[in-house]
Amino acid sequence: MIRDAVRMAWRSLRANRIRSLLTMLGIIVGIAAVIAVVSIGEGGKDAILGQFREIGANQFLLEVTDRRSGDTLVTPEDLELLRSGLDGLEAVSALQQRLGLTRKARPDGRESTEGYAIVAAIDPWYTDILALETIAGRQFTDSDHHQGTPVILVSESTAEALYGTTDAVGRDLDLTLSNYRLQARVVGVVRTLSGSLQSEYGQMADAGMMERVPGELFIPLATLERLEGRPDGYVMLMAASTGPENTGEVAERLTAFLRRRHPEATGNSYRVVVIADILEQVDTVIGYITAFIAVVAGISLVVGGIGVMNIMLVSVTERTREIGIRRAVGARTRDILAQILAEAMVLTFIGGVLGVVLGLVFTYIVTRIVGFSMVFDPRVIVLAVLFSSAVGLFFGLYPARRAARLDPIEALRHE
Amino acid sequence: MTSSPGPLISLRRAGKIYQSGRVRFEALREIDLEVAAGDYLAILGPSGSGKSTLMNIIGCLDRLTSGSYLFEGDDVSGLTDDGLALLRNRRIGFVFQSFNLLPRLDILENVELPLIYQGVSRRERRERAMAQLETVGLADWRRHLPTEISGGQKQRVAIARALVTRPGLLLADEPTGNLDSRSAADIMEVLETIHAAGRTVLLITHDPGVAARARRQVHIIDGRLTETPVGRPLT
Repeated sequence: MIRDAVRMAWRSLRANRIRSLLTMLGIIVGIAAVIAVVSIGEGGKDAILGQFREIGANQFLLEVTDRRSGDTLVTPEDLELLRSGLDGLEAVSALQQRLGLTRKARPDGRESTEGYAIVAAIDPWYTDILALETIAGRQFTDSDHHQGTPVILVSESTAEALYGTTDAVGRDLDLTLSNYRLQARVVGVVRTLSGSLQSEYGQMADAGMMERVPGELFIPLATLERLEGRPDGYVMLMAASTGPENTGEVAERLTAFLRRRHPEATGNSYRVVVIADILEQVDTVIGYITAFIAVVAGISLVVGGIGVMNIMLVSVTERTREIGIRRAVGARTRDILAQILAEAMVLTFIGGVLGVVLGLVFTYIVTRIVGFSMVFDPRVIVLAVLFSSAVGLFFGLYPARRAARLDPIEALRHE
Repeated sequence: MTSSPGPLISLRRAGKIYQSGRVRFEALREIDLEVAAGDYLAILGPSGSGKSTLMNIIGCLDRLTSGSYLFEGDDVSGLTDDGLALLRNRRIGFVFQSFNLLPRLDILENVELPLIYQGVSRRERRERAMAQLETVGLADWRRHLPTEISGGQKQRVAIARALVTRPGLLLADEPTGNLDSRSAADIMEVLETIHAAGRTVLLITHDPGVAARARRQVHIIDGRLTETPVGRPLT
């Protein structure tokens, strides 16, 4: 019986192909939008969070935000005390960032190009927190860290930009940091996982005038201190707890320790950023955006559903006589109800399937352009098709009941 | 066919009143009518006489407002809409003046239609509808649409559709009203064959010539019934 109803529905929809297609359009667009938004959203989340996830969930940053009290709210002594034993603290590293002007001789020896780059001066503990994978050459040695040798590590993209090759070991780089000039030698090319972190702790405005050198440059902290002198304090710490479960706790303990050491610190002198929290926030924000667009798409589905209802009402009126004939030969009210409902549901089901296909095609194109990986969740597809069918059920109910309630005699008389 | 002891159709003091707002119209008054199984009865009356109402009542498309109607001995007035639909589906075949074939279905599917509502399997439907189409000589036209055949052929298809469920009663409402005289004669012959095969046929018409072909006739005028003995000349 159900199969017959569906077959009948299919035939009557085919008989009015253009009308059926136009009616489906609202559903198709709505479902396609939902599929595209959810899939692209998932892909985007993966793209943004993927590298953070690799870094790990047990890391946090501490920034000194109160610059009036000078840079003395985290002193080198504080760090030594922290390293000698804060419960749950795996490693802590002081980090200095500078905007560096790069000047390098071109192969022809005459011209030199200039650009600016973010240079991170790192201490030996940095690599306990963020791994620097060696692609070529070596990492900083203990003697680099102790003596402040003029050596430099560059990321692949930096090497590519500066030297046109990732094989940059042994090249020289003329670097201007603040007022100091550093003639450094590239000793290693590294791959970092912290690329996206730059924006988090860097926050350096684009100078606009010069070309920005992509990627990252590292020098030993000692090298920077040889130029600038040993600072009274630091404004940026990177730290890792012994496990992801106690990160928040350790971050609080560390802050409390610093407050005890520096009673002059005010309520918001220290800012702690837990990487896991960033992940969560990004996740939440993307979730909100996805939900918002999904709601908009849902509205378009409702509008599509109203279109379906409208067309089904027209169709019922047009086929009053047919309904009368069917009633005369023995169709019960529920048979007529089933027929019209089946028609509405087949309409929205096909609309849903077409919408899924369109949405996936759109997602594929967008992810190819943006460079996200295409995340494909079959549950979303099943849900979308089920939902569009439910739209048909809901909006088909009123026309179907109207059809079922037609008086057979009146219906037979209808021209 | 069930072998019920009583008459197939039994109407007692049957009345039908249409009330719409303050307008009251008495379509049927005190109708007494019995039709035995295997009979061939014509109900003759001019338009507005109440014959369509009577046919709707007998065909279980409508209910009486007074009196009783027994079909195969069972009181129909107590049935729900779906009960009436079931009765129409199993026990009554309709033939209409305007054929009432579904224009989008082909001939065979039109004949299958009542069987869909019996839940008969697709294959059995096909077979039974084909067999029925053969009896009206239209098996070769099974894939044609109703718009592609003549009026006489349409009415044959309608008859096949009415008989495919093997009903106890064939109810024909002006079956020749839309046909030329040759097709009309043809359809009348088909009805006679059906009657000869043992089926009860009830014919509703305004045409005395058509009514004369039945074994028995009743007249309806202003909602009242009078029986006319066969053979008596009609005015």
